[in-house]
Amino acid sequence: MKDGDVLVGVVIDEQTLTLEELACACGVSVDWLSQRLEAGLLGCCNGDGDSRRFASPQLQRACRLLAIERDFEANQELAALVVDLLEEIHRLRAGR
Amino acid sequence: MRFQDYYRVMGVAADADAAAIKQAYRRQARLLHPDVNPSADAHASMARINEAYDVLADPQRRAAYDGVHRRHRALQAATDAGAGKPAEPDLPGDWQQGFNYDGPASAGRGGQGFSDFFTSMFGRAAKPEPPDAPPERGADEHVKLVIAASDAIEGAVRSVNVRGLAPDEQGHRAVVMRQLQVQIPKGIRAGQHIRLPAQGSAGRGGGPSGDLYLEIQFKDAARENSRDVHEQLPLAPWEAALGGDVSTSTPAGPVSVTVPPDTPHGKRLRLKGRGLAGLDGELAGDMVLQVEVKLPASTLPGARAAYEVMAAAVGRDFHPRAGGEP
Repeated sequence: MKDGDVLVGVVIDEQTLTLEELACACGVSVDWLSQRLEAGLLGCCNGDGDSRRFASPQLQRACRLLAIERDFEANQELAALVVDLLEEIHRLRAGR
Repeated sequence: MRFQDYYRVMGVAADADAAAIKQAYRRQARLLHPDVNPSADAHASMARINEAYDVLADPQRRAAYDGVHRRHRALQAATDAGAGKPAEPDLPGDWQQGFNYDGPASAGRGGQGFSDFFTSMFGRAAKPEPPDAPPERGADEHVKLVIAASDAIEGAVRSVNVRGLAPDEQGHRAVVMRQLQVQIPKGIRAGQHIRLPAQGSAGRGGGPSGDLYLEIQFKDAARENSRDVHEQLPLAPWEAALGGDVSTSTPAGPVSVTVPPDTPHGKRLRLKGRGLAGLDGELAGDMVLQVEVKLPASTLPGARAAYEVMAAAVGRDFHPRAGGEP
């Protein structure tokens, strides 16, 4: 790439992520994600089993779960509760 | 490279015990966490706290850091005495003399945003890469990109500063900053991510680079969760007074807007479904146009004469400071 070249990326919701790509994007292991998926703390946008796909909302939620667990040494259920409340605040502020 | 005083960052004394450090970290994290702190530098502040805690909470890292910290304090005391005022000295070339850390390399608790001081001391940059190291993909990096709503409507090219790890001339991995020009696609919403393949940190041992994820935020935080788009609609006085069709751009493309006669300055016109597209079956937002009546300068050819004609015709019956309309 030359200096000044304009990069054209892909919007995640147009081209969703696999479980492995989501793990790479969050800097966690696939097992870390699988545990939270199985516990219902994280969802996917479509598919099931190995064909699950993830979009921006799931990427943001996974990164938030990780940050809350890590920064406050919280267990995964408590982190999910905090993220649920944060998402609810965003929804209320948006009037949805 | 600047010295990082982790004790100062954490707000504890250099002889603070582990419990005091943990308490200070939790107090700071609650105040500075980006999920509760709306300031623009909350992420950077949290990264500094995480970096400090990463070192001070680990006995092996803390012991290694304390040697450098003592040297730096002595150097600072000497600098302050010489200059007559407090100053923050740069690290001397031999700052790592006596530094002894043999623990595992760390990318940091967040993996991102850590200083090159930390990376040099405790990151993988501190370890020479073995020649037979297997190829390893570079880390994905995340950057929040704040754009104007108009960028999402019309599309734009924006500069992004990206921090990542890449090999330096000696082959050590070092923190590098790059500036990229990125196309912002039309119709993008706050909270969406743009993925730029192979623009993250460089790989090791010939492995591929990681990806870069740009998380979109709007400058106007009040609008960032909405699919509605708010824009000004500049009108000439006669367009506002007489009404008519004017064209404007929306995320879905240009549209013709019918301006009713006697539209006042500041009035909002809502175009249903002309805002940002919805996701996952959500309805599209609205385009909200706020009328902004622009007066032609009296120096424009013919404008002064037109104002004088208007003043003579309606000046007797128009009292803007008494409620406007007769």
